[in-house]
Amino acid sequence: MSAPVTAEVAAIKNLKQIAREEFILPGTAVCGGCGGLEGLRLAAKVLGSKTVYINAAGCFTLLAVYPYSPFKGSWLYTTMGGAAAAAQGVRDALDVLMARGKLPVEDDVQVVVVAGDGSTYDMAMAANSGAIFRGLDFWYFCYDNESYGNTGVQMSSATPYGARTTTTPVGSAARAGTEHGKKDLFEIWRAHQPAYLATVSPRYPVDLTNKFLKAKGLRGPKLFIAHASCPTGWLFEPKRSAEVAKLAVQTGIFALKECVGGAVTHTHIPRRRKPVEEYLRGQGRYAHLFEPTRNDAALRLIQEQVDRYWEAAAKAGAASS
Amino acid sequence: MSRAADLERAAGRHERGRLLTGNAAAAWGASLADVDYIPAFPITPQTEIIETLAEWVADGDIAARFVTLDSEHSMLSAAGAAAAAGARVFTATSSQGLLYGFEMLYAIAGWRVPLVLVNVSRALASPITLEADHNDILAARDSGFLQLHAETCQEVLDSVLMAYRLAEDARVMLPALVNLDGFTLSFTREPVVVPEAAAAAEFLPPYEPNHAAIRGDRPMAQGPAVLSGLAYSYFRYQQQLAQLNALEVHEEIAAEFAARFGRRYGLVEPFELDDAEYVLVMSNAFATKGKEAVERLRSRGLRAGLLRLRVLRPFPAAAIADALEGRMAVAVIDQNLAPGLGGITYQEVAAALYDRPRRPPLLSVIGGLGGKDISDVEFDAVFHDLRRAAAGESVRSPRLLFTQAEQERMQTLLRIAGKGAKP
Amino acid sequence: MRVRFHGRGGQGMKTASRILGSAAFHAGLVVQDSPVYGAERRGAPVAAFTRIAKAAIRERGLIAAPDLIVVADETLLFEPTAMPLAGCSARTVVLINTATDAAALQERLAHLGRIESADFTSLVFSITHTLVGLSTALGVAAAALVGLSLEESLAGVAEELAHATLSRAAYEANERLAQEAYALADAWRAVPEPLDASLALAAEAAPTALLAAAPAGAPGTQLVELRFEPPARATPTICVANTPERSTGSWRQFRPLLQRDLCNACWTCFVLCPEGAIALDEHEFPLIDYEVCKGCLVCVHECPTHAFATEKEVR
Ligand SMILES: Cc1ncc(C[n+]2csc(CCOP(=O)(O)OP(=O)(O)O)c2C)c(N)n1
Ligand code: SF4
Ligand code: SF4
Ligand code: SF4
Ligand SMILES: [Mg+2]
Repeated sequence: MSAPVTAEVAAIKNLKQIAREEFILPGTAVCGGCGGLEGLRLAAKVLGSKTVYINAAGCFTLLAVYPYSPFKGSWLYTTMGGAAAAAQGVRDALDVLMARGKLPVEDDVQVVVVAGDGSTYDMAMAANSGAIFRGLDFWYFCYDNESYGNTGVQMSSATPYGARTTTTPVGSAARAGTEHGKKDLFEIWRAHQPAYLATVSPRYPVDLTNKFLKAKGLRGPKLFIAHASCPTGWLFEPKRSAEVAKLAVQTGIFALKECVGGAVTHTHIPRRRKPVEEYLRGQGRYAHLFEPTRNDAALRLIQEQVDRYWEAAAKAGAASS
Repeated sequence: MSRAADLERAAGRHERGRLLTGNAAAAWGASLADVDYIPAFPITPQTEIIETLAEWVADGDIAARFVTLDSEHSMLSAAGAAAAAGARVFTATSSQGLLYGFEMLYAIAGWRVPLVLVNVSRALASPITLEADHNDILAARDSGFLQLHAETCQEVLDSVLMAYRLAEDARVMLPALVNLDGFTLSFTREPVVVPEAAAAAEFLPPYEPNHAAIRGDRPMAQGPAVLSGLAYSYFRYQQQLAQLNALEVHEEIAAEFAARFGRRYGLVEPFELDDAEYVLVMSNAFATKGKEAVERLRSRGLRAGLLRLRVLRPFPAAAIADALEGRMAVAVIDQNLAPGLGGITYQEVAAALYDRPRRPPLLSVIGGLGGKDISDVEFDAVFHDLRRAAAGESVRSPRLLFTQAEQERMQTLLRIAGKGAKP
Repeated sequence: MRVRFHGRGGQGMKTASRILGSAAFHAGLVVQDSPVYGAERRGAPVAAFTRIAKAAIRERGLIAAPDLIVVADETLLFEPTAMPLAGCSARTVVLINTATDAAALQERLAHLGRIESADFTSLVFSITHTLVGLSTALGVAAAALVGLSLEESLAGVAEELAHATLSRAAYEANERLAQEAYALADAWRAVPEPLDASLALAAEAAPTALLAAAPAGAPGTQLVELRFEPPARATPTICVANTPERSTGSWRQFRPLLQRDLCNACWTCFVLCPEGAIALDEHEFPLIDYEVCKGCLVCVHECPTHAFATEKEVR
């Protein structure tokens, strides 16, 4: 399913090789400092304007609110559960119209699903699985702000252990806030054997750009899980958005990796990982782990999870490549 | 059977047609409409439609792309999105499937994309059963879809073609539902004349979207939020105005269809109405049984008649009121039930008649739920009620049709299910 | 008594409207309070409404002609999507959170009625060392202006803060803040005629300014017959990339200012601005489009050479 369609695109080495043109224009109604938007904006610089974004209901509903749109290309706003299926419809439609001579080949576009974690990890799980299973030639950009952000920050199955949301509040009977761990979407998707699968961070623009460039040469499902630092939902000052995203990587909480042909490669290995506390402390959603009393057990659990992850990664040899 | 073999067998039998099920007729409709895309998902009693189309696509008989999705929500998402990309799209479902994808009906209508969705009516769970009633299709009555309801297999095929013409007309530009009854049409073979492909193509020229399409460098954001009552009202009102246009456009298309193919379909179908005093209002396949009852009662000297509802959205209120005004009494037989209210189309027919000075007494009758038969005796009872109503007697309405024999059989089932003796 | 609060998402005007509502409710009056927000986020204009009366309130939704208007952020005054003074009459009292004095505002705004202003932001900051108390300050100030007592006002604050999980110190700071804000506004109340929260709601009087209750037949008020429009128009699609026209620059509370001499043209701010509000000039120096820059300050925070200064927005 992952036959390369073009020669490998040369990777970039520094910021200054990132495209200067914007394909998603400013002035949208999403929050200032939105890490998800930053990720999508950088992705769009690789994707260009011959692109249709198929948007699941979520925060990014606000990207285009009548009569304003930020897109130089196309956009189709769909439901929380149906974006990948809609992508299937669009891809199939364009293919059949071209095959039947009803659409000039130069009018073809790339099909890109844009969906939050609530959509991706929860409601659209089956529809996504279906699209990937069918080998659909499309892109999937999941901006993971670890909650149902648009409805005011409720728990999704991407919400990490210990984070407070409005449906996992902190109380005497629930000291950690969210009690379950985050669903491992990367591994679920990996089992589907997509053409390309990667995690990206808005604070690692070169890594992000290179992953999109690499995927551009592949036909089939090209799947991205973007860490989407979210000032509004995670409760930190908007200016710290990129910093928070960076800390997630530096503490090892968010692993930058990719998977081609089943093998996982970590594209950035934090040599000396910062303690997870440095990431957690600056976010109001974790404040209860520190005040009024320190929840050592919860903090230890989070640290151990991260340590275990990287130990396993090192063992698997993935980290060495 | 392959499409080629079918065509071969049909050669030389053009006038009498060939025996096709309602499902096969629907597939023929899609095929003659030369659709581009068929997203699919199985559900009884619709499945045969997509199986038939899958086979024709596999054989290379039709140029459409066929894809099986993972649910009806996905199927309708794919269907709507493909139409939004500019393709002519056909799909089909039934009952639970229609409800599973329900969210998308409003979305698709809101996108103003003219796909055709065939619904094979089947009663809704719970409890589950497989045969027809119309709660599924009528749940979609406010979605913005046009609705055409077929009585015969021939009408299924013809309605699919007409639905595309109507849906794609620039004065309308809305998606359409074509309804046929599960089992009573879907699995029933009867003679169907299949139009020549060339004639169908002349009747239905290619779809040329310019209001909604996805094309290389051209910016178009489709289906955005409006987040204001103002813009929301404007776009919803436009759906209403487009639906109203469809009344007139339908008559134009029906006239052209009649001229070309010799079969005439109105918004409503009058049956023995000219001098009728006692009139049944029905829709879909059981209307055939109603017509039979009308003839039977006419042979006994009662001036009976029937009005069949065919186009339900847009709702042809004037045509219905014109047809029913001044009758001695009218009964609307609803093959659906809105618990706590009664029959659904009864309410709409009553509203259509309300401002007519000579509006007749109007009875509501519920029958045929889950495909349950409506017997001669029951039709007789309805006509009896109509005469009493005309004479000014008070008559129970809505009447829930259920016979003594059925009552007894039900008692047996209850006993077997361990519910003890009848109270 | 109709009170309308204007602020930006995140400034707590919904809470302010509820503090006023709870205070009046505590005083035994009939109350209705409600917020409106689009799906917009932090920084975007929002409004909230409190109605207070002695008898049942038979109104719903927006308040078109308020008796008191509370403006949490002076940058809203000239913002077309907020229009905080819409529906003002000569009777309307306008309370503005700003360091600019009332007389100067009176002139700029050409408002015929009373304007009161004070720098509540500094007050809040001096007591709570954060900005989260603005809702308390303005809710209580509104309560004082409409004639509620200090005790009732504090009850309103207590009621609303019960939902927030505050440390003891924060709670006490808030109470002190409430007392000071009350004292401030109470001093204004006497002049020239106090608003009276216990007044029954009269029919909304025709305001003199915008949104005048139009006599029948005035332009714009008649019903029209909506006509069918062709699908190319009546399909909800947008066929231009035009969000920059939305001018999200008005969301900004702080403005990033480039000090060119400190910049080494490294592209970091350009790449990391989530909005794409930064372009690069021919020397690869950043150019911020202030029409759309939301003032998130990611650029300021990330610049390796600290080349940006920040400046509070005054509009
Ligand atoms: C079927 C359905 N149920 C509920 C909603 C309400 N809803 C809208 S956006 C949203 C949150 C989506 O969360 P996520 O996918 O993570 O996106 P985010 O809002 O965080 O950007 C919800 C629950 C909906 N749009 N559709
Ligand atoms: S809530 Fe978070 S993810 Fe949503 S728009 Fe705001 S910052 Fe972005
Ligand atoms: S980040 Fe700082 S140094 Fe780099 S281009 Fe921007 S202003 Fe100049
Ligand atoms: S403050 Fe800086 S990073 Fe934020 S929107 Fe403005 S220019 Fe962009
Ligand atoms: Mg989310």
